[in-house]
Amino acid sequence: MNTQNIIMVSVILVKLLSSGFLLLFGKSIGRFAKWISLLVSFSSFGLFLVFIPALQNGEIPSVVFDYLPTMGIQFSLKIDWLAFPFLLTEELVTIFAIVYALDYVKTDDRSHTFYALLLMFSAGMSGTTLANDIFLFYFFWELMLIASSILVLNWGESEKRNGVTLKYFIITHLGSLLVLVAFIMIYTQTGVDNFSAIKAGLQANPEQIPLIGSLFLLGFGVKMAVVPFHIWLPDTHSEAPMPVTIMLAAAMLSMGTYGILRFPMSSLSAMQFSMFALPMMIVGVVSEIYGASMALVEKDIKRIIAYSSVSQMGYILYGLGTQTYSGIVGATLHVIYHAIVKALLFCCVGWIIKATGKRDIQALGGMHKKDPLLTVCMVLGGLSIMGVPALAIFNSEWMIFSSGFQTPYTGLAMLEILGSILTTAYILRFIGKIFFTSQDEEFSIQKVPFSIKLATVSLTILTITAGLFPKPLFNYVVNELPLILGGQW
Amino acid sequence: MMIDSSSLLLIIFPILLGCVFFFFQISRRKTRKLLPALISILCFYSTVITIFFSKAPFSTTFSWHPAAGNMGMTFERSPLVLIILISIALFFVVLHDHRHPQVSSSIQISLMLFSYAFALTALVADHFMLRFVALEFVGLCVVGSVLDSPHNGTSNWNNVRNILLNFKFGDLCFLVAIFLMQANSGTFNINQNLELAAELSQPNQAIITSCLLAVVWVKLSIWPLDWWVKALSSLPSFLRTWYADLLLPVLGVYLLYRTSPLLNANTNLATFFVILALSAVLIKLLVSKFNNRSLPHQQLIQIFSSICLIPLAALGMQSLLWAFVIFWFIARTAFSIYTLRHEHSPPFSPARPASLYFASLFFLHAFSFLALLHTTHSNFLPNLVLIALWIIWWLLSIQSLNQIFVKERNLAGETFLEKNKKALELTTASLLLALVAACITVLVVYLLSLYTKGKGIWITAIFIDSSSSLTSAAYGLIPALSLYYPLFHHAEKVRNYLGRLVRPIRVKNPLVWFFRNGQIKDPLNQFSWLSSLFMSAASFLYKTIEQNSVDKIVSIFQKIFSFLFNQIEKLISKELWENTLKTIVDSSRKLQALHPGFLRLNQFWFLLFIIILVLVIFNQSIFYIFPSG
Repeated sequence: MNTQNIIMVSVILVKLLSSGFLLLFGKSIGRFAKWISLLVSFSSFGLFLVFIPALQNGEIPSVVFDYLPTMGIQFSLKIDWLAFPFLLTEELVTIFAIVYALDYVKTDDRSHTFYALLLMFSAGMSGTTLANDIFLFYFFWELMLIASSILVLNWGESEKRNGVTLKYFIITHLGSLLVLVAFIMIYTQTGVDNFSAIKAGLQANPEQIPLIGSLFLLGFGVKMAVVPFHIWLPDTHSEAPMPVTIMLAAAMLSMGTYGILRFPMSSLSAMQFSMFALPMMIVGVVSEIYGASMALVEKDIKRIIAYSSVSQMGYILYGLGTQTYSGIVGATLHVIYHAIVKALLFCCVGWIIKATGKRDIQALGGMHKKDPLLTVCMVLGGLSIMGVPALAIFNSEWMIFSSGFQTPYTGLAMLEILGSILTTAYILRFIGKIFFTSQDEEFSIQKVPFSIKLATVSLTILTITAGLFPKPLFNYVVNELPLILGGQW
Repeated sequence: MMIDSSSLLLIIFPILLGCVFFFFQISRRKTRKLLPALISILCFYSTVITIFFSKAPFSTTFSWHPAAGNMGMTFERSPLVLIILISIALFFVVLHDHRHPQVSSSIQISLMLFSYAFALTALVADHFMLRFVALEFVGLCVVGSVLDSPHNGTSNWNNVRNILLNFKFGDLCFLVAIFLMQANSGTFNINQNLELAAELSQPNQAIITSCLLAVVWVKLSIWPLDWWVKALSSLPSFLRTWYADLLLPVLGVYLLYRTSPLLNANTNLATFFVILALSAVLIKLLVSKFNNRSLPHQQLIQIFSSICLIPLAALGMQSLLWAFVIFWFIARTAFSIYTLRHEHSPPFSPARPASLYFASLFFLHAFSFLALLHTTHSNFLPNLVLIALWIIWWLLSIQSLNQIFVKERNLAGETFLEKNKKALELTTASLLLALVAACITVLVVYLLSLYTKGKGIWITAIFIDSSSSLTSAAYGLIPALSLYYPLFHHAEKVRNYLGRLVRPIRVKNPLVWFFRNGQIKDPLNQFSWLSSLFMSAASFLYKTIEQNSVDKIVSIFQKIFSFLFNQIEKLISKELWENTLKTIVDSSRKLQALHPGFLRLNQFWFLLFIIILVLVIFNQSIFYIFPSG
């Protein structure tokens, strides 16, 4: 076992072990629990960065242990260019979520459990991305769900949290079961669990492709929360404590995209996948328009941004459905940019709630005079999600939009572009009502903790930087293409 | 090399000064006026130097977005001429800052300078992404200026919202056109795309042309895409003039100029858009008359003059169109600057030299007249449309003339004959002044077209062979005269009459509900009823599907679970498990009661089970004893 292998296992293990440590001994170390979790998230990010030179040299770092050799089951991890953008997103979002939580979560006799579960949640996502066999993938996939469910159940913000958690768990678990059925079908046909062997197995049984592909798309569609599988998202995002919401919206939603890219899109050729293209594009456009429409009429500010995620996932699904160079690279870039911007928007929402104690958009107003720093961050986040140039999302949106015109479905592509005016509409309503219109009923502003401000401002800077300098990220993401749809580009 | 780099200074100078204004909040009014004026002069000179001393158009490329390839700017003579004119316009606009009571902020000045730099970038860009980004930033500068107005927060924000939505619509249409062209050509280069667009299928060409014209519509503020102009009301006058009358229209017209080959290839579409534009002016005219809205006569004339360029663009003679664009911009600038200069004095006050005002008005009419004459001469439009164009031109001209007589009639202490005599004198003086201005402009346009296009264009040459065109113009006069009186002097009666006519239709109209019960305050405000319709649909969906979905889902689950529990409980109830366990324990006890050795046997099996479990966990090779499939 070389150093690279140890580091790769450590990306996950450091979080899992810390999580266990905090669960067992967290009570006795008290307020140090949050600093330990922050240190762990930074360490994990640092460990992840170690792989960049290897990837740039064309290597694919991997670790394999035999687990159940007779059944062909291995403990196998791998990092390639396809996993890279998603792992980057998860690691970054975890850091921001923990920074945000430092002052957001009160230090009490339960707080160590909160951080332990947050790390477990993050480990679930990292494990899912690094896994190179279906059993490990499913294990971490479910770990992610369990950890997040417990977080919502115990730290939910209202009395409805039990119902919300039940809904979240059951619906996303149903999605996971669809993925599981697809995995079992693949396993029974191929007898192997390794990702690289799945492709050959599927090619040997082409008649199974429509069913397996549909199961994957439906299962991962639930995780992406595209319409009509989005029903869990607004409630869960609005109910979860803000750091968990940031993790859910900015990182966990991208797991659905990763699943689609990793399984149906990597295992099938462009020709075989083409049967799913049009449905994906249609669902993408519907999600974009529907999510934005709901955000336009919703009153709870946290739910408005939650619906915005439904809309943004529509862009991503549409981009993937086009099966074009621009569409796939654009969708992957959109995952990263969306994570940054959505984390920023939720940070701003948390800031508003912490400062005012209000969540109803009708009860808010005139915040630009009361908190100029928050206004700048929120306006930049809003402009970014509207697709204004030189801010993060513009770069990916441009590619997704252009990809639609490289397909025969020009009408759908036009609808996709024109439908995005609704994004402008709901963001304008949001910013206008909260910041720039006067409120008859005066309300006071509470002091907001430093950690919330730090996370928000850092994300704002990241939004601008990512928008101004798109090249580095693009050059990394574009390397995933040879792994997708037979690499015929 | 130095000359080439002077081209880039065109963009760098205003941005640098804009940054100074933005970050240092310059409050001295004189400095605020002088520095931008200085920059506009500097830009003017650097453009002149570039045009006259550069042997070949300077071009520069850079890379920003990897998927868009290299972006370039080419400083060709045609856009540079426009840049000279825009710089002159900026100079005059800035000089008028101090004349008005409404004070502009340092940020607004900085945004004005940024908008100038971005507009210049848009004009010289030969890459669609660069042009799109530049146009977006111009739009953001407008929005920022309105947001910085010291007005009531809510109304200010409503203005910002309307401007952004209006611009966004134009931008999205532009994107559709760009991507359709790019899908065909594989590049974002503007020249290549526009050349190859002619090879596209007819429906695609129609979509591209329509989308590009939608952008032109927005920039020229033609109904129904003109919300943004009304929303600029909170800006200081000179900024409003800069954005609404000069900068954005010139960007729109430049786009029209570039789109003209496509329009020429789709004559039916071009005719449709001319009719649409004509209807837009008519609706504006009727709305302003019937609703007693304060839509100034000047604004209508400006819109109409812009519309006159659309049929010219469809003629396919780009050099001629270019010459007319120059004429249009000079006439428009002169008119806008004059109205800006006297905006705060009453329309016919002695402080306002009436002859100059009317001369600038007639100057603009002269442009429209020449443009319409060319259109009529080309026989490109159906006669009915041509006559309609001429009717509107006459209506607006008669109204302008009538203003002179209204002004003179208001003078007290003079006889009827004296008043009319004065009016005639004023008319003659204004017309003569307008004629002189038009002649000079025609000469300037000739020289500029000679220098930029290599061939001088006399836009008045049409008079030589235009007897039939002049007849068409004359045909328009009679209906115009018959419409003028009821339209302009008995607007209320006509409105009531038309109201009675359309009432039966309106009652049956499904939109009536929205007009009566929805959020629509003004049925003529298309933005209001469109958004109201959409919001009603979205609210319906939200209330029926999305709202309280957690409760709905939980109650569904509750029903399912209670059904399952009630039905299956009988089989797997607690009692069943307890009874089973009890039976096993009882039988085990009975077994032990038979012989004590049986107790040890039970313990043995239990121990064996644990050992197997441990072995399985720590050593998977145990599975070798079970042959796998």
